[in-house]
Amino acid sequence: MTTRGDDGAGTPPPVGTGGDADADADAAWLLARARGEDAPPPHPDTAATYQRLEGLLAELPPVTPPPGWRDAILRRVDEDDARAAAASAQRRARARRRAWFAAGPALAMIAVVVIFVGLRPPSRDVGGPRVGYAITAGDGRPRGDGPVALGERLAVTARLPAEGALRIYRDDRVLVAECPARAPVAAGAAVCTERREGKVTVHVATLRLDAPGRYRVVLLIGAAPPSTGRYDDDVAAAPAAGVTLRAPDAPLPATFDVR
Amino acid sequence: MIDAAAEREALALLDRGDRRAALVLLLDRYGVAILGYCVRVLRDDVLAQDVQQVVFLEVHRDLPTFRRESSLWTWISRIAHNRCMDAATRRRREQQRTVSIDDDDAAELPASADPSPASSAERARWLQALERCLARLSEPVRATVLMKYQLGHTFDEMSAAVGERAGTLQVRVSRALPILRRCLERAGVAL
Repeated sequence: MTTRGDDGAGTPPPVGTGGDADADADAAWLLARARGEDAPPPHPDTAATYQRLEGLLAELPPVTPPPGWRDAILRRVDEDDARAAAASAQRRARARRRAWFAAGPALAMIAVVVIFVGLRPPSRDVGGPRVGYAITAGDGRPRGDGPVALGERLAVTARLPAEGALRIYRDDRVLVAECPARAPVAAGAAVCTERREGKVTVHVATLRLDAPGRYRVVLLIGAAPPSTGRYDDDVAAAPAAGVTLRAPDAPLPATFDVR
Repeated sequence: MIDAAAEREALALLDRGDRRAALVLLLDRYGVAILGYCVRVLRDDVLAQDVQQVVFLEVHRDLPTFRRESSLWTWISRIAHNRCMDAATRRRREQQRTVSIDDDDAAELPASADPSPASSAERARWLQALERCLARLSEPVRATVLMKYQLGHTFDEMSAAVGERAGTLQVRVSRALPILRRCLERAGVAL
């Protein structure tokens, strides 16, 4: 095995340099041609030969991508978005807490509706469920603190035990997301992604807010029964399974009142 | 390779704030070409697929700040080139070896009694031989050749994409073509 070093242009010398006058002559002619200079080819057939070689290079067949390549990229994009949105949400939450002390009454317009529905207490080894969520502008850029507008995107990240589920309802009447995906949800609803982190599963639901209303996030801990699609009915069914309602452990940012 | 209509549509989507739809359009139009470029530069399908994902993640992230000083195709090509070179560098460090372009290896290529591409099967054999000859170029040289002939960029576009002078790239391609020619001839392909 021989290893070629680069010259100043970062270019390996032609194979067999030192004795390959033909290759050098061809390279010189090709360079002149690339520069638009009118140089005679070293041999009568040189131009045609390289034209055929260039034709072959352009003809190399397209690579067949693996099945699902496009969805895999979009999944990674959604995960990336959710991480960025969560980080942005944390920054906004800190700013909002500071602002609360300065302008509390103004912020009272914001209604945060997050309820944890526990079908059974979380196991200690997962550290309890955690949720973070954020709203970004339609193009994914951070937004200001004004009212949530149609077309903006909601990203919810929830850390749950293996049996957990994340649901989002609109106006308590329409199930717009369930992660992991199981129930039929409203058209144009969320994209779910998930990944394992030890004994917990991190679910990310990304949803374009295409309809006005109040969006409610619910975390279900345990083997949740199938959703009826309506929040009240789902909650009513929960006590039979030993439901406990818990407040979140930490303040959560944002509201889902979309106008 | 550049699709002006798709680029206009992607920019319009971007102007309307629909970055994801713009990304999907660019994926549909350029995704396979970028994967092909990465596969041929890196010679590793799995690594190339990962790089392709990274490229389009970067495209999605940076679309809002795309300055429209070049085509989207040139911009995406630049990202792809940079990420492929990053991956190649990492791999070299991990493997602690360099890529050989020893043209004596060309003797491994199957020769044919008939060097003219009289049939599509023979044409396919020529292309297969070309793939193997390309594999013997170093990664930066192979990337430059592919950017020119597979992605269809001009030297000026390539210069903008890879951050090297157009003259340097002209030299690189001009030296690579005779190497490929001789490698093909050894494989029984008389151009």
